[in-house]
Amino acid sequence: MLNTTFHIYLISRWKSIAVWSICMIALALVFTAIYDSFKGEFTDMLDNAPKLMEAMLGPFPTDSIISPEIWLGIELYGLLFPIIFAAIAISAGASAVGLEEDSGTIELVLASPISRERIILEKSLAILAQLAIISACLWLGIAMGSFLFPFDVSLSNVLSATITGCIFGLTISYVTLAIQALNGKKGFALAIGSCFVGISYIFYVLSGLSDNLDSLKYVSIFSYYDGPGVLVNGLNATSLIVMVGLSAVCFIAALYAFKRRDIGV
Amino acid sequence: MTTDLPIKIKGFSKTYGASPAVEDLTLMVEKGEVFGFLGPNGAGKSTTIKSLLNFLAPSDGKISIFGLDSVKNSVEIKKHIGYLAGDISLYDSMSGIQLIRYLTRLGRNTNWAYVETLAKNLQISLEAKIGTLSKGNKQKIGLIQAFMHQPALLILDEPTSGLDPLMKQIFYEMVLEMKDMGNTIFVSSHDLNEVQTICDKAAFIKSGKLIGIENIKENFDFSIRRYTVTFDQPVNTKEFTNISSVSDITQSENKLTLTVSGNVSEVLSKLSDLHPVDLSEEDTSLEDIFMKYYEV
Repeated sequence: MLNTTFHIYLISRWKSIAVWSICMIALALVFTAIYDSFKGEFTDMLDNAPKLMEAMLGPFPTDSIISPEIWLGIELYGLLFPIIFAAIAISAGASAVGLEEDSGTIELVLASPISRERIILEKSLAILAQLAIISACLWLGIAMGSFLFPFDVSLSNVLSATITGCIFGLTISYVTLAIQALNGKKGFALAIGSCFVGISYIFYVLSGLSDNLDSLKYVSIFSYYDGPGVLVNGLNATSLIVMVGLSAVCFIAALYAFKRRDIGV
Repeated sequence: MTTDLPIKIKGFSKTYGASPAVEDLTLMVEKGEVFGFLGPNGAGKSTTIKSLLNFLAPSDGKISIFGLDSVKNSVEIKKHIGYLAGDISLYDSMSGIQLIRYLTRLGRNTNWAYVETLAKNLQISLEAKIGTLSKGNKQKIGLIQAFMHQPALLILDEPTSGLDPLMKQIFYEMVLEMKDMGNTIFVSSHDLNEVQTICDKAAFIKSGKLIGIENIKENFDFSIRRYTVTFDQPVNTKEFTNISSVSDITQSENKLTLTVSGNVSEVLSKLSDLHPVDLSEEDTSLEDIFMKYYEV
């Protein structure tokens, strides 16, 4: 796919991908480095934390010394990683075709013998590649940290949580891509994609605050992500199937919409 | 495939919501023709051109390119098309040669020797980043990407926008060379000289409707001029109303404005008798000429 729309997407974003990849490695190294200093004191801090914080980060541990997996689940995979990934994913989904539509370069591509389906397919694969590179760097950083510092973590579980996070990002990205393909406006897709993530996160938090609101978790993408849970228990097949299924539906919707919509009006 | 008519538009309409952009347009372009597509801003030229390329789907009617349906066979059709957009957007971060390589990877059958010739003739370096180029030089890159695979059908929207007179002349030679090769060119333009120089036929469209199609080379009269004449004192406009070639007479104090179609000798003779102090000719646009010609 060299020098195709797939390649062009990645080339045009290489600086952003490089910066986020370095940030992920740095974050991972910081959190693996400081674990040893906090592992004994952390439970006391969590005992005094408000219920809202637990709803935001997931169930807190009761052990007096927390494991590296739980440490990562609270500090990195509970909120920071999914929020960063959601932001990257929304931008990627809205820009993949939207940037070319806004700038007008899409006409150069569409004037060539390439089908609209192939454009969406290549852009979707490029988004997947972008998210995979950045999430792989997070795993790499943690792996490096486990060798450099006293941080005895299950790298296979970290890999599972990272893959889950990558698919979580992919789902958000494809939701945004489908909105852009339907509407044609990058800004509109950014706004709706952000609302989707924001509302989804509010539902996730509310579902953890009250039993009456528990059913809200089923409509929140954050419930299916559950990075901290995957770090401890390994991959959750049901959650993955839901996210992959939603991604597939959004991808097909993007294909359908982009094929039939007027472009360059 | 390329033995079929390059362009056949039948009953084509395009509406945006409730407002029609193009209504019931029917026209055909023959192989080897340079066909001008003319009209004022908002007439529906770009909508028609974008529909030829399947950027926009027809609301009604049918468009065939080389006998293939413009919507169903869009990918196959584009192997034989070169396109220059009116306000072309290029990838600023690429160089010209990177852009051409990219478009080649997208399926265009690039003639690399011809690309070199085009770049040399248009006096443009393909190594510079497009973002650093002037509007005129970007237009040259746009022309190269449209011509680079010597397509059987070239669709050009305002192709000489931003080009200096010398480069316009080179562009005309490029078009005529393509025509000599048996290729077809569909071009929208506002430039009267351009249409006279390169077009065999021209269609005029206004408010989304086809006004007429004329054979430019053979029987179309471009000689419509509008003069403003200044006298020492107001003159009697009735002196000119009897002259068949004169129309649209207006007078403001001692200034007389009139439009002359065809031969100007009778008008000049009459003006001379009235001893004018000044005479100026206004720029006449192609649209003015067509509107006057069809009296629309």
